[in-house]
Amino acid sequence: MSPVQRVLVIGELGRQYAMAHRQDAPLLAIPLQADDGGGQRAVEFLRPADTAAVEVLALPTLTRIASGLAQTWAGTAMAAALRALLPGGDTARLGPLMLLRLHDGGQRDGGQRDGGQRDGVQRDGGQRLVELMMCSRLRAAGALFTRAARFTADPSASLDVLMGQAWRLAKSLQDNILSENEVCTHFESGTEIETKIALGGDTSPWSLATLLSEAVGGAELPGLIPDVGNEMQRWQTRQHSYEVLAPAAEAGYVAFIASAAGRYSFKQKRFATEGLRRPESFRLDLPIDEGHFDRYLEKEFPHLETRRLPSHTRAKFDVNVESAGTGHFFGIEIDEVTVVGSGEVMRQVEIEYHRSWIHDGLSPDTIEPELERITGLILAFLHRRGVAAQRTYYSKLSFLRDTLDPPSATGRIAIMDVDPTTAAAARGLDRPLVYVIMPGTPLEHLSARHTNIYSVDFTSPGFPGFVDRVLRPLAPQAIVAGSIRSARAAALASAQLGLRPPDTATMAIVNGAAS
Amino acid sequence: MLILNQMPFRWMYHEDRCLLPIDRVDPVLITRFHNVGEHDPSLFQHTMVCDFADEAQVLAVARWAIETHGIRRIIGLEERVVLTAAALRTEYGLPGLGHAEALVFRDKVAMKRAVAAAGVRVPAYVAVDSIEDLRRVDWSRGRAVVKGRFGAGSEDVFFVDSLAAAEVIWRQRRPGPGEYEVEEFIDGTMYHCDAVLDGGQVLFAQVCEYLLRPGDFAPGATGGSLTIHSGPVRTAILALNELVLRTLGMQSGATHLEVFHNTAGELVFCEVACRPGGAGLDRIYECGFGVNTLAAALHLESGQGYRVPHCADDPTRPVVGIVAFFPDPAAGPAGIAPERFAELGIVEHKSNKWAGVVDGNPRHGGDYRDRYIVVAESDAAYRERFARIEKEYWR
Repeated sequence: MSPVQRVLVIGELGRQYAMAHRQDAPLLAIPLQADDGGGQRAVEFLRPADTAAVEVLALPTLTRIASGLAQTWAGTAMAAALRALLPGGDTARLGPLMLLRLHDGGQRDGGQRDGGQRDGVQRDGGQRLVELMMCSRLRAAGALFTRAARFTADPSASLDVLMGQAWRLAKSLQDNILSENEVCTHFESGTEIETKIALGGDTSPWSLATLLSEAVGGAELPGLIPDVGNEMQRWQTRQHSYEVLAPAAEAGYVAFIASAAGRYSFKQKRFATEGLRRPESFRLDLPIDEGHFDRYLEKEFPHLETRRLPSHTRAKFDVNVESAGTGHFFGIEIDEVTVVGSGEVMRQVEIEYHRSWIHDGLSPDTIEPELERITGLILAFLHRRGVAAQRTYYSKLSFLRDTLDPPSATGRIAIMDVDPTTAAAARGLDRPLVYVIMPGTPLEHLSARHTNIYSVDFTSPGFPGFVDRVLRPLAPQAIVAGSIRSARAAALASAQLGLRPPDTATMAIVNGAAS
Repeated sequence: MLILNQMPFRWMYHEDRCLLPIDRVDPVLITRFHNVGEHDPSLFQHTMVCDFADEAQVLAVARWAIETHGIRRIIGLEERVVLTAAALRTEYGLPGLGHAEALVFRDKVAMKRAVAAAGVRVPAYVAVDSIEDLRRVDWSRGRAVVKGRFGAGSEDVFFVDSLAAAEVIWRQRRPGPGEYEVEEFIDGTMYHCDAVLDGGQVLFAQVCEYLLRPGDFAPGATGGSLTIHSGPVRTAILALNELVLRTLGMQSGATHLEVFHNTAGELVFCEVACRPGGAGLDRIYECGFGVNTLAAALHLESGQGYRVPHCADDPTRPVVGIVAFFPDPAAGPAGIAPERFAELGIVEHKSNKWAGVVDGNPRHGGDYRDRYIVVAESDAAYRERFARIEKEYWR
């Protein structure tokens, strides 16, 4: 993939916002270091260091003003080095307006590795794709740009000519880009869309949160940028839950979440089986006395048949990220749930879709693939650090329910996409095993007495049928992914059979061998 | 195509040649835990390894495979999976032997009842469902055979001379109702007749004489058989074979029939299987007649047809047979040096490292340590070679 040339444009804010401006104010084109990752971007984030200038050109003459500046824009103000080069009164009127991303050739695969979208532009005829990114957020940490439009241009066209095309499209999506409260939308409102990773052992959620936060946008979490100004959030809640047993259409749970003012938020989540999407609704700021939850339910929800579950606390640390390629916003939420009284603990990572930047090319179709990509990255991140982790859809409802029914330590374990190393390690579990492998996988080093092996494409739509008809009668206690590529299928199969995540020892053995 | 297999994975191969019409079928293989080490994932991409002792498990995965992979044919050639395969064919309306037809090839009581009804002499027999039934058998007629109705490979066959001996067997085995029979012991020579049929027509049939009756396998014994190319016994056995197969409704596939030629000169039916003869018999016919009965069965049950060479019926062809040695835990090293093969007429040798795997003793009538395919110009020459090979093997 060819590097993407980037040009930052700084000029008077009146060119972007509806306010008076001077026609003779400086307009600067600043070629930046090329984006070696290539691919298209829904949003792009420039930290101060990212605004280092190869050169600074004055438009429209393209006269070089300077070259080799370490910074040109420093968060919320112009960098001192650039300011020193400009006539005194002009600099305060200027701000980052746009960023042009220029794609030349070799773009056929369109940045799929880091969540970028395919551009679909044929450049065999020599056309150049230009992404017009308009500045949509400024924070001390840096400047965010949202793609307002894309156009093609002759690769020999000068920067001045490109700017002419860019200005004609610069007003695209301006109602969304110019106001902070309009920049995002939320698809599938009222439905939680999230994946989960169960954590084994005594993994510290805070430790993981800080490690993940540092890794955002790096080699291990490519294609992500921090939620500028809100990179990390910390939460603690106390929740009193009831399982909804009937009617079937409302199966799931209801919960009362305490707030600092002594009032409660009421949450209802409906799901008969665990999965990626679960409808949820809230009532906020309810004046309920602790101990009167039953009365509230009887009055407000007389049709629900419920049973009380143990109360719990939840400490949660969110690493908030934006997907540069798709413009969707996700929370990487690491939490520790502790049952009040028994002290039983569940730790997990949830990756939840929250909202999307309104931009040229916005599509809800990319939410799920990007969520899957990020989940895979985080799973690999955890495995590399030796954290016992398994992808699941295992809910807090199931956890609370299961605290009333402790697991057996001798049940059958199904391992997906097992390889000889993992198989050898798994024999140490001293439990009956089932292996699910992709068709064509050699059996030579997998076969063992009393170990069932099934060749089945676990990525196919027919896999749930296999789970129901072949795995279910074997009554596995847990289904474990032996690889990143099988993690989703293992999680779905576990949810389908209503299984809890594997115990820490199993996770550690399988993860350790697989990674 | 679905293959139910309880044999070692390589049973579908001769050396490196897969006997299935693998270029024309997309197999789903359900096999047992053991001996999948030589599994070829490029030819058998969809392979399920499971516990055949748990029939519900096998059926669950088979039904899933049939419905998911659009299975049109089911192969179940090993004796213990014949009925399972047949039941699935019936359930899904697939071609081949259905459950009712297969049952008469598996249940030795139902088999003899049907064959006797066609006028064929069978040993006197009685189903025994309890020790009381066993006591009601007329033990005054001398030696008898206590036999599992669904046994295979002479694994579940016991020769007894008295009720007391039969009761010992009964108490050891503790069979349930429907599992055992007692039949008349037939003295004399045993023959087998192996055939290939398509559309109810016998394409190939050949008669062989057993040099050791299958039930007589023992540590250190020598087994084997040889082709019989002429004579009234051969002619009568071929006719009996056709009658039995027609009576039992066999349409396509390979069969293996066993028959006694008793001391009174009568043919007495023993049993028949709706699968090719095992323990290397397919090699006799391939070496002698260019017909591989196992390949024929695999092709026919796959729905791909099978072409028998024109020369298969040529009576002037050399006599071919098998000389096979059962393991003996008390014996020292044994074998025939390869440089002796040509002089002894040995054209193939196969050793079986799993023979006598439990305690050194043979477990069934095909549990050979070494087997040799031998050719000779005549019946007499073959028997002479048999004796020389036997002598040299143990030397």
